[in-house]
Amino acid sequence: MTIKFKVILVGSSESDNEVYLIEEKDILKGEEYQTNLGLDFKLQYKVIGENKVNLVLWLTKGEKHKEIKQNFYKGADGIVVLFETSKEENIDQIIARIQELRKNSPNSSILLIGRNIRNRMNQIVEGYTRQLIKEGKVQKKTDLNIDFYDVGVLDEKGVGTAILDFFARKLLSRTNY
Amino acid sequence: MVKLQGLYIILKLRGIPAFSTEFVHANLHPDLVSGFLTAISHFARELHADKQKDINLIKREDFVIMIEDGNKTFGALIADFDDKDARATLKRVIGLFEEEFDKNLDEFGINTLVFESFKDVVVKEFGSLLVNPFYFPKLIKTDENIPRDPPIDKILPLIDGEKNLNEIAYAATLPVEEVCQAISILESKNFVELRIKIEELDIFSTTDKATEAFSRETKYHRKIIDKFGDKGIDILYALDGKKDLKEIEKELQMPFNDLLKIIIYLLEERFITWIELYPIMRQMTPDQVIALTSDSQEQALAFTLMNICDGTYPLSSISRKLELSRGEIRRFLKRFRNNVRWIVKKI
Repeated sequence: MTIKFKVILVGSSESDNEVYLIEEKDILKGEEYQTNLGLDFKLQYKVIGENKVNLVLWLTKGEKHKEIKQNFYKGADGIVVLFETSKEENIDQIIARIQELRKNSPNSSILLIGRNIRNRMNQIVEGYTRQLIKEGKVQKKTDLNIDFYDVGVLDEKGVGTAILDFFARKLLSRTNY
Repeated sequence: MVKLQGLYIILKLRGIPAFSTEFVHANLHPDLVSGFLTAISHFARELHADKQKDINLIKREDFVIMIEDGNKTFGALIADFDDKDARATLKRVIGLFEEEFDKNLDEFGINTLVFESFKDVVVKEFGSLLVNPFYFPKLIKTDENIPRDPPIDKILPLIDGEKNLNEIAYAATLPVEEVCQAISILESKNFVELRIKIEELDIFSTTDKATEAFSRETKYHRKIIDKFGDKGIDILYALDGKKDLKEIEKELQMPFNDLLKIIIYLLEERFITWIELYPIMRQMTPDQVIALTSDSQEQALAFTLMNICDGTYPLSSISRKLELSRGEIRRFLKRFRNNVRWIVKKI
């Protein structure tokens, strides 16, 4: 059977200089469509066990208007948050970013990716968990559906494919199939 | 008759298609079409934030995308023009879809296999728009079992490649829309093939699409000229919904086979459509009938027609019933001048 997921790729902040570690050539093979809405669509098909997993990727890099971008986030099954590698971002700002993304798609799985960011990721997840527990929204860390992927441990080549393969498995594990 | 290309039922928030089907091969990727339409819809909402309104039509010169809203989904139907019957069917189909799959629409991830069974509903609902009642169905030999339901059981013995859908509906005493729906299902499963048969006495009229082709500046006009020269446009002008092909052949002085080729193209591209005539004959006194007929046989025919021609039965059905050609009946009824009226229906 074929399971489809809407996955959006966003930067770790809403600023214009979002950096994508996943290069487009890594994402897509065979099909190329583009729109002029400040939005690109890319497809990534995976075969996992007996299932085909279709990731419909929404790349919002070109859209400058925050309100329109946030509409695109709505209903996402998965959100891939891509980090700027050249600077250390404020942990509190990133936690606020995750909260903002979750506001539009509360049930989504989030994947945080960047280079050599393992320590920062742990701090982010811990900080976010504390925030949610404080708000009474979760009891423990496992309810979060947040994963992270440190691309520092891999060679550059094929990074995008490996990340999306990892995320496709994570998304599939949340279904009944 | 509208030419349907494809249907997409899209999850409103997620912008991914739960169900999609192509009526003609278009090579559009449903995931991308869905994302694109959802994004436009979001964009429009940002321009004018009115929650009650949404995009319901995207139009280009040669196609439109009709959009109808549901609760959790919206439907997009690609066709050659905005048609109110197609739109009403789209609205109904969206309702049926949400009713049947309400729970599945909230699941995490969309399993497209769950929705595949909906294809039969779509083919049935759009059947009367997909299949022209003037088509001639023929059974294809197969080892597979034909799906059975009451209308299919009734029409199966009547499918012989010689009767068109109008005639089958008449013989089976079923509404023609129901027969089109049943045939549409059989065709989608490759149990029947549909053929076009055009006869000299067929009458055609132009569609809304042809109206655009009359103007020299349009793409349609150029397309017809490129294919058939001025003759193609001459034929479009001649098809006035009154003259049959025999009369047009005479008027344009062109070989019937050449005329036929152009007619088939115009039909397939939906520039023209068949016309069905429904005669109504006023009740006349025996003296009036005698005055307009030459013998007792003709008088008997006049009284028979007076009973049948009440605007309910098409000329083709009357012709079969009386075993007379449509031309003969038309010529005979013309004698009664103002006592006969013709209702013209485009098929």
